[in-house]
Amino acid sequence: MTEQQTPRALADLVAAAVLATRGVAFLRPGLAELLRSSVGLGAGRGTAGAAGASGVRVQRRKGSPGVDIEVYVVLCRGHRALDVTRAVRSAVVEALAGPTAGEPGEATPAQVRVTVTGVV
Amino acid sequence: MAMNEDGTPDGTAFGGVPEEETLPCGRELAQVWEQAGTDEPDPHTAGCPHCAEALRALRTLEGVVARARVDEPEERQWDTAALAGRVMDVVRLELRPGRTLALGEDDEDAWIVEAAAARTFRAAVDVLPGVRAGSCRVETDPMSTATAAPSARPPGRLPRGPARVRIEVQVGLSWNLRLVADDVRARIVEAADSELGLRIAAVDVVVADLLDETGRPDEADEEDRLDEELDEEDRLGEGGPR
Repeated sequence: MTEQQTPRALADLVAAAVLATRGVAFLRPGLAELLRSSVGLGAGRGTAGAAGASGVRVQRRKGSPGVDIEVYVVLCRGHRALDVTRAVRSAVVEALAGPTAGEPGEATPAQVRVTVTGVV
Repeated sequence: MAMNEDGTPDGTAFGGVPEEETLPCGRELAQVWEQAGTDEPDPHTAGCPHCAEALRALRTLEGVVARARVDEPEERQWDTAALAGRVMDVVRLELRPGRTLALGEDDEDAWIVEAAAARTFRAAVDVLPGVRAGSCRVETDPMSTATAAPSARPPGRLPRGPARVRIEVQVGLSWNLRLVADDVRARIVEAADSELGLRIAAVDVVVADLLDETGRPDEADEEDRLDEELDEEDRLGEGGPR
Protein backbone atom coordinates (compact mmCIF):
# COMPACT_ATOMS: atom_id res chain seq x y z
CA MET A 1 0.00 0.00 0.00
CA THR A 2 1.52 3.30 -1.06
CA GLU A 3 1.32 6.57 0.82
CA GLN A 4 -1.24 7.88 -1.67
CA GLN A 5 -3.54 4.93 -1.31
CA THR A 6 -3.73 5.01 2.44
CA PRO A 7 -5.53 8.36 2.75
CA ARG A 8 -7.94 7.16 0.09
CA ALA A 9 -8.74 4.01 2.05
CA LEU A 10 -9.21 6.13 5.16
CA ALA A 11 -11.50 8.45 3.21
CA ASP A 12 -13.68 5.50 2.25
CA LEU A 13 -13.78 4.41 5.89
CA VAL A 14 -14.75 7.92 6.99
CA ALA A 15 -17.36 8.21 4.21
CA ALA A 16 -19.06 5.00 5.33
CA ALA A 17 -19.18 6.20 8.93
CA VAL A 18 -20.59 9.59 7.92
CA LEU A 19 -23.27 8.11 5.68
CA ALA A 20 -24.41 5.83 8.51
CA THR A 21 -25.00 8.85 10.74
CA ARG A 22 -28.63 9.73 11.35
CA GLY A 23 -29.62 12.96 9.65
CA VAL A 24 -27.02 12.74 6.87
CA ALA A 25 -28.63 12.63 3.42
CA PHE A 26 -25.45 12.25 1.37
CA LEU A 27 -21.93 13.53 1.04
CA ARG A 28 -21.29 16.56 -1.09
CA PRO A 29 -21.60 15.08 -4.57
CA GLY A 30 -18.29 16.48 -5.80
CA LEU A 31 -19.66 17.31 -9.21
CA ALA A 32 -16.85 19.70 -9.99
CA GLU A 33 -14.26 16.99 -9.34
CA LEU A 34 -16.24 14.49 -11.39
CA LEU A 35 -16.33 16.94 -14.29
CA ARG A 36 -12.61 17.58 -14.01
CA SER A 37 -11.75 13.90 -13.93
CA SER A 38 -14.09 13.18 -16.85
CA VAL A 39 -12.14 15.52 -19.11
CA GLY A 40 -8.85 13.91 -18.12
CA LEU A 41 -7.42 16.64 -15.94
CA GLY A 42 -7.22 14.25 -13.01
CA ALA A 43 -7.48 17.02 -10.42
CA GLY A 44 -8.91 14.79 -7.74
CA ARG A 45 -6.38 11.99 -7.96
CA GLY A 46 -4.22 11.28 -4.99
CA THR A 47 -6.67 12.91 -2.60
CA ALA A 48 -10.10 11.53 -1.92
CA GLY A 49 -11.15 11.70 -5.51
CA ALA A 50 -13.13 8.48 -5.61
CA ALA A 51 -16.78 8.85 -6.49
CA GLY A 52 -18.87 8.65 -3.35
CA ALA A 53 -16.01 9.83 -1.15
CA SER A 54 -15.70 13.28 -2.72
CA GLY A 55 -17.23 14.83 0.38
CA VAL A 56 -14.31 13.58 2.47
CA ARG A 57 -10.76 14.87 2.47
CA VAL A 58 -8.01 13.16 4.41
CA GLN A 59 -4.59 14.70 4.82
CA ARG A 60 -1.64 13.43 6.80
CA ARG A 61 0.09 15.90 9.06
CA LYS A 62 3.67 16.54 8.10
CA GLY A 63 6.14 15.71 10.80
CA SER A 64 3.57 14.58 13.33
CA PRO A 65 1.25 11.60 13.70
CA GLY A 66 -2.43 11.78 12.92
CA VAL A 67 -4.58 12.99 10.06
CA ASP A 68 -6.74 16.00 9.31
CA ILE A 69 -10.24 15.12 8.17
CA GLU A 70 -12.63 17.39 6.31
CA VAL A 71 -16.21 16.23 5.77
CA TYR A 72 -18.78 17.98 3.57
CA VAL A 73 -22.32 16.75 4.09
CA VAL A 74 -25.86 17.42 2.90
CA LEU A 75 -28.40 16.86 5.66
CA CYS A 76 -31.99 15.64 5.74
CA ARG A 77 -34.61 18.17 6.77
CA GLY A 78 -35.93 17.73 10.28
CA HIS A 79 -32.53 17.13 11.87
CA ARG A 80 -30.72 19.88 13.79
CA ALA A 81 -27.59 20.71 11.83
CA LEU A 82 -25.34 21.21 14.87
CA ASP A 83 -26.41 17.91 16.43
CA VAL A 84 -25.73 16.07 13.19
CA THR A 85 -22.27 17.61 12.82
CA ARG A 86 -21.46 16.45 16.36
CA ALA A 87 -22.71 12.95 15.59
CA VAL A 88 -20.67 12.93 12.38
CA ARG A 89 -17.52 13.91 14.29
CA SER A 90 -18.10 11.14 16.84
CA ALA A 91 -18.70 8.60 14.08
CA VAL A 92 -15.48 9.60 12.30
CA VAL A 93 -13.39 9.39 15.47
CA GLU A 94 -14.91 6.03 16.30
CA ALA A 95 -14.34 4.67 12.80
CA LEU A 96 -10.69 5.69 12.81
CA ALA A 97 -10.15 4.11 16.21
CA GLY A 98 -11.32 0.74 14.87
CA PRO A 99 -9.08 -2.13 13.80
CA THR A 100 -9.65 -1.52 10.08
CA ALA A 101 -8.04 1.92 10.23
CA GLY A 102 -4.50 0.52 10.26
CA GLU A 103 -1.74 0.78 12.83
CA PRO A 104 -2.80 2.19 16.21
CA GLY A 105 -2.26 5.93 16.26
CA GLU A 106 -1.53 6.13 12.57
CA ALA A 107 -5.00 7.31 11.62
CA THR A 108 -5.85 9.19 14.79
CA PRO A 109 -7.73 12.27 13.65
CA ALA A 110 -5.92 15.37 14.82
CA GLN A 111 -8.72 17.52 13.45
CA VAL A 112 -12.21 16.75 12.16
CA ARG A 113 -13.88 19.62 10.34
CA VAL A 114 -17.54 19.12 9.40
CA THR A 115 -19.24 21.48 6.94
CA VAL A 116 -22.93 21.40 6.08
CA THR A 117 -23.25 22.29 2.40
CA GLY A 118 -26.98 21.82 2.03
CA VAL A 119 -30.25 20.52 3.41
CA VAL A 120 -32.76 18.47 1.40
CA MET B 1 -52.27 -1.02 -21.60
CA ALA B 2 -49.97 0.91 -23.89
CA MET B 3 -49.74 -2.13 -26.08
CA ASN B 4 -53.49 -2.09 -26.60
CA GLU B 5 -53.55 1.59 -27.36
CA ASP B 6 -50.70 1.16 -29.81
CA GLY B 7 -52.42 -1.71 -31.57
CA THR B 8 -52.89 -1.64 -35.29
CA PRO B 9 -56.12 -0.17 -36.70
CA ASP B 10 -57.59 -3.57 -37.60
CA GLY B 11 -57.87 -4.55 -33.94
CA THR B 12 -54.83 -6.81 -33.69
CA ALA B 13 -51.73 -6.11 -31.69
CA PHE B 14 -48.21 -6.58 -32.96
CA GLY B 15 -47.38 -10.17 -33.92
CA GLY B 16 -50.88 -10.98 -35.10
CA VAL B 17 -52.21 -11.65 -31.58
CA PRO B 18 -55.85 -10.54 -31.17
CA GLU B 19 -55.97 -7.32 -29.18
CA GLU B 20 -59.11 -8.23 -27.24
CA GLU B 21 -59.47 -11.49 -25.36
CA THR B 22 -62.70 -13.39 -25.78
CA LEU B 23 -63.86 -15.80 -23.08
CA PRO B 24 -65.05 -19.33 -24.03
CA CYS B 25 -68.63 -18.16 -23.41
CA GLY B 26 -68.30 -15.56 -26.18
CA ARG B 27 -68.10 -12.51 -23.96
CA GLU B 28 -65.10 -10.22 -24.21
CA LEU B 29 -62.96 -10.04 -21.08
CA ALA B 30 -62.75 -6.23 -21.11
CA GLN B 31 -66.52 -6.03 -21.44
CA VAL B 32 -67.07 -8.35 -18.46
CA TRP B 33 -64.68 -6.37 -16.27
CA GLU B 34 -66.26 -3.09 -17.33
CA GLN B 35 -69.75 -4.44 -16.63
CA ALA B 36 -68.65 -5.55 -13.14
CA GLY B 37 -67.40 -2.03 -12.44
CA THR B 38 -70.83 -0.52 -13.07
CA ASP B 39 -72.56 -2.69 -10.41
CA GLU B 40 -75.44 -3.31 -12.81
CA PRO B 41 -76.76 -6.90 -12.55
CA ASP B 42 -76.03 -9.11 -15.57
CA PRO B 43 -78.01 -12.41 -15.74
CA HIS B 44 -75.40 -14.06 -17.97
CA THR B 45 -72.40 -13.23 -15.82
CA ALA B 46 -74.17 -14.41 -12.66
CA GLY B 47 -74.51 -17.94 -14.05
CA CYS B 48 -71.47 -18.23 -16.30
CA PRO B 49 -68.40 -20.04 -14.84
CA HIS B 50 -66.03 -18.36 -17.33
CA CYS B 51 -67.23 -14.88 -16.44
CA ALA B 52 -67.12 -15.78 -12.73
CA GLU B 53 -63.50 -16.93 -13.09
CA ALA B 54 -62.59 -13.73 -14.95
CA LEU B 55 -64.15 -11.62 -12.20
CA ARG B 56 -62.37 -13.64 -9.49
CA ALA B 57 -59.06 -12.90 -11.21
CA LEU B 58 -59.97 -9.21 -11.35
CA ARG B 59 -60.76 -9.13 -7.61
CA THR B 60 -57.44 -10.84 -6.87
CA LEU B 61 -55.60 -8.26 -8.94
CA GLU B 62 -57.38 -5.42 -7.16
CA GLY B 63 -56.42 -6.93 -3.81
CA VAL B 64 -52.75 -7.08 -4.79
CA VAL B 65 -52.81 -3.45 -5.89
CA ALA B 66 -54.55 -2.36 -2.69
CA ARG B 67 -52.01 -4.19 -0.51
CA ALA B 68 -49.13 -2.72 -2.48
CA ARG B 69 -50.50 0.77 -1.85
CA VAL B 70 -50.78 0.10 1.89
CA ASP B 71 -47.27 -1.37 2.04
CA GLU B 72 -45.75 1.50 0.10
CA PRO B 73 -43.08 3.15 2.25
CA GLU B 74 -43.68 6.63 3.61
CA GLU B 75 -40.83 8.04 1.53
CA ARG B 76 -42.66 7.24 -1.67
CA GLN B 77 -45.32 9.74 -0.72
CA TRP B 78 -42.86 12.65 -0.72
CA ASP B 79 -43.44 15.45 -3.10
CA THR B 80 -40.84 14.24 -5.54
CA ALA B 81 -40.89 17.46 -7.55
CA ALA B 82 -40.06 19.50 -4.45
CA LEU B 83 -37.36 17.04 -3.42
CA ALA B 84 -35.81 17.14 -6.88
CA GLY B 85 -35.83 20.92 -6.66
CA ARG B 86 -33.99 20.85 -3.36
CA VAL B 87 -31.42 18.41 -4.73
CA MET B 88 -30.81 20.77 -7.65
CA ASP B 89 -30.36 23.58 -5.12
CA VAL B 90 -27.63 21.49 -3.50
CA VAL B 91 -25.93 21.05 -6.85
CA ARG B 92 -26.03 24.79 -7.48
CA LEU B 93 -24.66 25.44 -4.01
CA GLU B 94 -21.75 23.15 -4.65
CA LEU B 95 -20.71 25.12 -7.67
CA ARG B 96 -21.05 28.42 -5.82
CA PRO B 97 -20.76 27.65 -2.10
CA GLY B 98 -20.25 31.24 -0.95
CA ARG B 99 -19.33 32.09 2.62
CA THR B 100 -19.40 29.69 5.52
CA LEU B 101 -20.74 30.31 9.02
CA ALA B 102 -19.54 28.71 12.23
CA LEU B 103 -21.86 26.36 14.11
CA GLY B 104 -21.69 25.47 17.79
CA GLU B 105 -19.13 26.42 20.39
CA ASP B 106 -15.74 28.04 19.89
CA ASP B 107 -13.86 24.77 20.25
CA GLU B 108 -15.98 23.00 17.64
CA ASP B 109 -14.96 22.77 14.01
CA ALA B 110 -18.49 22.71 12.57
CA TRP B 111 -19.68 24.95 9.75
CA ILE B 112 -22.63 25.61 7.45
CA VAL B 113 -22.67 27.43 4.14
CA GLU B 114 -24.52 30.74 4.22
CA ALA B 115 -26.90 29.82 1.40
CA ALA B 116 -28.13 26.71 3.27
CA ALA B 117 -28.79 28.77 6.40
CA ALA B 118 -30.52 31.50 4.37
CA ARG B 119 -32.73 28.94 2.67
CA THR B 120 -33.74 27.52 6.06
CA PHE B 121 -34.72 30.98 7.26
CA ARG B 122 -36.69 31.81 4.13
CA ALA B 123 -38.63 28.55 4.48
CA ALA B 124 -39.35 29.33 8.15
CA VAL B 125 -40.69 32.77 7.29
CA ASP B 126 -42.73 31.61 4.31
CA VAL B 127 -45.09 29.65 6.58
CA LEU B 128 -46.30 32.88 8.20
CA PRO B 129 -49.66 33.99 6.81
CA GLY B 130 -49.48 37.02 4.54
CA VAL B 131 -45.69 36.95 4.37
CA ARG B 132 -43.34 36.00 1.53
CA ALA B 133 -39.62 35.78 2.21
CA GLY B 134 -37.21 37.33 -0.25
CA SER B 135 -33.50 38.00 -0.13
CA CYS B 136 -31.73 36.75 3.02
CA ARG B 137 -28.14 37.37 4.09
CA VAL B 138 -26.48 35.80 7.10
CA GLU B 139 -23.12 36.87 8.51
CA THR B 140 -21.28 36.99 11.79
CA ASP B 141 -22.45 39.98 13.78
CA PRO B 142 -19.64 42.56 13.55
CA MET B 143 -20.60 43.99 16.96
CA SER B 144 -20.07 40.59 18.58
CA THR B 145 -16.65 40.01 17.09
CA ALA B 146 -15.29 43.55 17.46
CA THR B 147 -14.05 42.93 20.97
CA ALA B 148 -13.25 39.23 20.62
CA ALA B 149 -9.72 38.04 20.06
CA PRO B 150 -9.14 37.13 16.43
CA SER B 151 -9.18 33.37 16.01
CA ALA B 152 -7.54 31.35 13.27
CA ARG B 153 -10.05 30.15 10.71
CA PRO B 154 -9.89 28.52 7.32
CA PRO B 155 -10.03 30.83 4.30
CA GLY B 156 -13.51 31.78 3.12
CA ARG B 157 -15.03 31.18 6.54
CA LEU B 158 -16.55 33.92 8.62
CA PRO B 159 -15.24 34.58 12.13
CA ARG B 160 -16.91 32.75 14.98
CA GLY B 161 -19.68 34.50 16.85
CA PRO B 162 -23.43 35.00 16.87
CA ALA B 163 -24.96 35.65 13.47
CA ARG B 164 -26.77 38.69 12.17
CA VAL B 165 -29.58 38.00 9.71
CA ARG B 166 -30.98 40.47 7.21
CA ILE B 167 -34.12 39.34 5.45
CA GLU B 168 -36.42 41.07 3.00
CA VAL B 169 -40.11 40.19 3.10
CA GLN B 170 -43.25 40.94 1.14
CA VAL B 171 -46.24 41.51 3.40
CA GLY B 172 -49.99 41.54 2.79
CA LEU B 173 -51.60 44.99 2.72
CA SER B 174 -53.89 44.30 5.67
CA TRP B 175 -51.18 43.17 8.07
CA ASN B 176 -49.59 45.22 10.81
CA LEU B 177 -46.01 45.56 9.66
CA ARG B 178 -44.53 45.91 13.13
CA LEU B 179 -46.25 42.73 14.34
CA VAL B 180 -45.24 40.90 11.17
CA ALA B 181 -41.63 41.94 11.70
CA ASP B 182 -41.79 40.59 15.24
CA ASP B 183 -43.21 37.30 13.95
CA VAL B 184 -40.49 37.07 11.31
CA ARG B 185 -37.81 37.62 13.95
CA ALA B 186 -39.34 34.99 16.20
CA ARG B 187 -39.53 32.45 13.37
CA ILE B 188 -35.90 33.02 12.41
CA VAL B 189 -34.62 32.80 15.97
CA GLU B 190 -36.60 29.61 16.50
CA ALA B 191 -35.43 28.05 13.21
CA ALA B 192 -31.83 29.02 13.94
CA ASP B 193 -32.01 27.20 17.26
CA SER B 194 -34.19 24.19 16.41
CA GLU B 195 -33.09 23.47 12.84
CA LEU B 196 -29.50 24.68 12.70
CA GLY B 197 -28.01 25.31 16.14
CA LEU B 198 -26.86 28.74 15.05
CA ARG B 199 -26.68 31.55 17.62
CA ILE B 200 -28.40 34.76 16.53
CA ALA B 201 -27.34 38.24 17.62
CA ALA B 202 -29.82 40.26 15.59
CA VAL B 203 -32.44 39.97 12.87
CA ASP B 204 -33.04 42.91 10.55
CA VAL B 205 -36.39 42.70 8.76
CA VAL B 206 -36.87 44.81 5.64
CA VAL B 207 -40.38 45.09 4.19
CA ALA B 208 -39.48 45.22 0.53
CA ASP B 209 -42.97 45.09 -0.96
CA LEU B 210 -46.67 44.81 -0.18
CA LEU B 211 -48.88 41.99 -1.43
CA ASP B 212 -52.46 42.34 -2.64
CA GLU B 213 -55.41 41.01 -0.67
CA THR B 214 -55.03 37.49 -2.07
CA GLY B 215 -51.63 37.28 -0.45
CA ARG B 216 -49.98 36.89 -3.82
CA PRO B 217 -47.84 39.36 -5.68
CA ASP B 218 -48.83 39.86 -9.28
CA GLU B 219 -46.90 37.97 -11.96
CA ALA B 220 -44.48 40.81 -12.63
CA ASP B 221 -43.62 40.99 -8.92
CA GLU B 222 -43.16 37.23 -8.78
CA GLU B 223 -40.76 37.36 -11.74
CA ASP B 224 -38.84 40.12 -9.99
CA ARG B 225 -38.67 37.98 -6.86
CA LEU B 226 -37.26 35.00 -8.77
CA ASP B 227 -34.74 37.26 -10.48
CA GLU B 228 -33.70 38.63 -7.12
CA GLU B 229 -33.20 35.13 -5.72
CA LEU B 230 -31.01 34.18 -8.66
CA ASP B 231 -29.04 37.40 -8.30
CA GLU B 232 -28.61 36.63 -4.63
CA GLU B 233 -27.26 33.18 -5.40
CA ASP B 234 -24.68 34.90 -7.57
CA ARG B 235 -23.80 37.33 -4.81
CA LEU B 236 -23.47 34.53 -2.26
CA GLY B 237 -21.10 32.74 -4.59
CA GLU B 238 -18.71 35.65 -4.91
CA GLY B 239 -15.43 35.27 -3.14
CA GLY B 240 -16.20 31.86 -1.72
CA PRO B 241 -13.70 29.01 -1.60
CA ARG B 242 -13.81 26.22 -4.12
